[in-house]
Amino acid sequence: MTLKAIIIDDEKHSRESLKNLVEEFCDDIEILACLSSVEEGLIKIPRLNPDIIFLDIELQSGTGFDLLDQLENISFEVIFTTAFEQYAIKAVKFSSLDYLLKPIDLEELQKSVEKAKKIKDRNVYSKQLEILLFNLKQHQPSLNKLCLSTADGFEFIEVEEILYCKAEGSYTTFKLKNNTSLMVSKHLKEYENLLADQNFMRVHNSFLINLKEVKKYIKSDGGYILMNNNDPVSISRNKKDQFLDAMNLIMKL
Amino acid sequence: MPKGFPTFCIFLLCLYLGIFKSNCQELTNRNGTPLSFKIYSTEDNLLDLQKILSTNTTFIDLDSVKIKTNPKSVNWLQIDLKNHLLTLQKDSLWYLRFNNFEYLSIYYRAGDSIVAEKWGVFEKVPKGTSVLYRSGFPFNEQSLIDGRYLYLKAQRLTYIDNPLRWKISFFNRFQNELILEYYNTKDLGKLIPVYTFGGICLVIFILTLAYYLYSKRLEFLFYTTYVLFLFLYLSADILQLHELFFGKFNLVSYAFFQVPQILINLFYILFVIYYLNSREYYPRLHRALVSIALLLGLTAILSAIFILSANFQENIHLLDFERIIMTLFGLIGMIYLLVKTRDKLGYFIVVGSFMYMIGALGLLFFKLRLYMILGSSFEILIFASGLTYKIQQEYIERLRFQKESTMFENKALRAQMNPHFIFNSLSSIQYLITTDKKEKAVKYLNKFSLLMRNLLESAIEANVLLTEEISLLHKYLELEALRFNNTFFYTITVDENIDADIIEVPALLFQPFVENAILHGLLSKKDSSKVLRIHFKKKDNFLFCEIEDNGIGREASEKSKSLLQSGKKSRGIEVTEKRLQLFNHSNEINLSIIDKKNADGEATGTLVIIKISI
Repeated sequence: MTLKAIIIDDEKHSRESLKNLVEEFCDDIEILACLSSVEEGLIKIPRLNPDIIFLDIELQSGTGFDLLDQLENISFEVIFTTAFEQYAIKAVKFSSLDYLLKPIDLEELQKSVEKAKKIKDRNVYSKQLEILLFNLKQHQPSLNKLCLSTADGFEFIEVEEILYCKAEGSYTTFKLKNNTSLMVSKHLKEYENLLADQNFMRVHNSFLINLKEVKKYIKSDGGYILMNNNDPVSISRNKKDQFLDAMNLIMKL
Repeated sequence: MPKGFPTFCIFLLCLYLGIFKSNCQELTNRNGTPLSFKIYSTEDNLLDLQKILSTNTTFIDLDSVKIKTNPKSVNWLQIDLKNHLLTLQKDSLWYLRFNNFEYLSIYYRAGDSIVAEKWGVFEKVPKGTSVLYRSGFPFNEQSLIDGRYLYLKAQRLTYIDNPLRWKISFFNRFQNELILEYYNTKDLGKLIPVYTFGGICLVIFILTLAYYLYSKRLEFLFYTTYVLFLFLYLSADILQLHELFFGKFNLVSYAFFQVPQILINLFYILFVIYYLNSREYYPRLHRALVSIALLLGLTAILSAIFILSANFQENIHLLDFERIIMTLFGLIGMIYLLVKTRDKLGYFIVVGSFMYMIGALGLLFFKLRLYMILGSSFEILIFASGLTYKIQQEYIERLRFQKESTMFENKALRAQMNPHFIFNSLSSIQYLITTDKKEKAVKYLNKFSLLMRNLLESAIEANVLLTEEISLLHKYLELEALRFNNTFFYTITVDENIDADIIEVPALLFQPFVENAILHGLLSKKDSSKVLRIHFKKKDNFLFCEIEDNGIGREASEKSKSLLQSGKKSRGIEVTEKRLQLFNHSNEINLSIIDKKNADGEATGTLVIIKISI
């Protein structure tokens, strides 16, 4: 089966470059059209009914998100493209959606296309897009909903629900308020970056905790933290001061 | 405060008491035989003894009437030795001892005539090795007038005194020698605090002076001067500085050691002004401090004039007035500072001033120097800590400032070259590669690497030559033109009177405005005539850079921002203005942005003018 794709990018060279790369190096995929603006996309996407859209986030006449927001029916997969990793990409990561950085890396492109070929649960996918748009409409910088890609599929959680995250090798376990645990195949570092400005703190090499869910700080035994569900969490010696400062700040809020 | 400080204090105290107890045993009785005297006070300075005796003036018993001296009053003391004649006959030499008076004449009989000898502190009088005592006046039975009297003519200049406190006694030659050649416990009790105080003053004087020479900070200079005058005022007589500096006690030397008591206050006030930086932090207190300082300066001059013209009465009134003002002001100032202080510096001033004031009042009311020496010592120690504290605070502050400014510089650079531009340019070059346009790909890759090189270099050098900056703009614009497929035209022009190879400008200053003009002004424009004009011109001592586009204008550009971009505030302009102010050394507005409009009020683009001092 051949996938039908559309490229949306306001820079001609970027469009052309991506088109060339896809046509030359990816199998079973056909570029239907290269578009340059939100308006064009709104008109042509329903008509062409593509399977995949390569969507640039920063467009002249708005953003790729605006386009998604305005389309009534999303029956395609989106691979976001952007030149620079920043807030927008953070939102994309929050919803576990796929993205490519420009200039395009060939391997990444091939991986993304392969992933797109797999048949997806449409419900889950539209939920992911929903979370993306929901988070984007929130006042910055709090992104409230997180989509975790686990072995079984996707889990949608509120950031507030997280008690702490624990590193298990290259995996990360999320401990939630309802006492369930979720394991995700991403490094803890990734989530540290995502959650850094939402009252999360890396208190230990293996722990990223939600500062709002701290119950106690216990000085004995070299010091450790007790979370609201009574789980003990280790704290690095050199993080102690920083942790106590941060807690003071939170208490004042 | 250093940890060893309390230990050091206790050590000093032990030393002091130890000397007291072990070395100073009362050698023998140094007390002479006290004499009673009668007094006759007059303001007539020309009166001589003959006249007094011939007019049968009555000398009054001190118990029967209360007399207070003043500098104008001449006090004639009639000392009656009638009851001691038998004792006097035992030896041919006796010594009369009395309080120190500034002016003093002793009248005695020599042969058939009555002679006056001056014995006041302004005179050079024989003395022994003791720094505390002058020799008594030598006499014997033959010196007595009418076979029983000695007369003193005494004037007290420095303060108002009560003759009841005066003590006159006579001593035998052995006792006189004991006093002049030996110290007893009481003497050491007087000397040790003065020497200790002198030592404290010396150390602080050297430290603050050294710090002043190093840092050129006025508060240290004023504190140095303050300590110097404090030292002069409190230790001059005991350390016999008069003789050292002037050889002889006279009006000038008297003024030299009296005026410092005003200068102490003056330099203290000046010190406080700079220590607290009152001009900035306590404007109200500052006005009061400056007025007081002026008043004290005036008082010091007046006091010197009064003393040199021998108007001692006026001088005493002046000093009393000054003490009342200083005490009142001191109290109010301390309370004000206690309430309003914005940091710990204020508390140092309050505690130190309080100690000093207690000491000064102690000296004033009890005539005991020890009070003021103790008060001043505590005050000096507190301020030594206070100054150290301030230095340390400023050091911390400076560290923080350095850290901030490095951060700020980094931010400034990061605010430059938009990363989007970098990666999109690479994306454009990727396009040239995928479409097999080898020559073009190499050419643009080269331009890109040159630009990156400049970017990295500008991270090291804050300022660059205008030529370099212009060549950077050219490369940047060529890459943007490639990226946007030559959809806009640009020109860069430089007026002939500008030597671009000499003028320096802040690195990467113009690029963000050029980028704004392209991305937000020109690219959103629908028709095809998109023009960017960059022009450099010189006027007076300024270089003006005009960046002008014929795009959609700032207002329309703001509207077209959407979901993600809205609400984001550009910090670029703020950062640039800061950099310009730093570079131009002025707080003026150096950056103006003009929204161009045509006759119908429609936006016709944006003009940015940047002013740089040459």
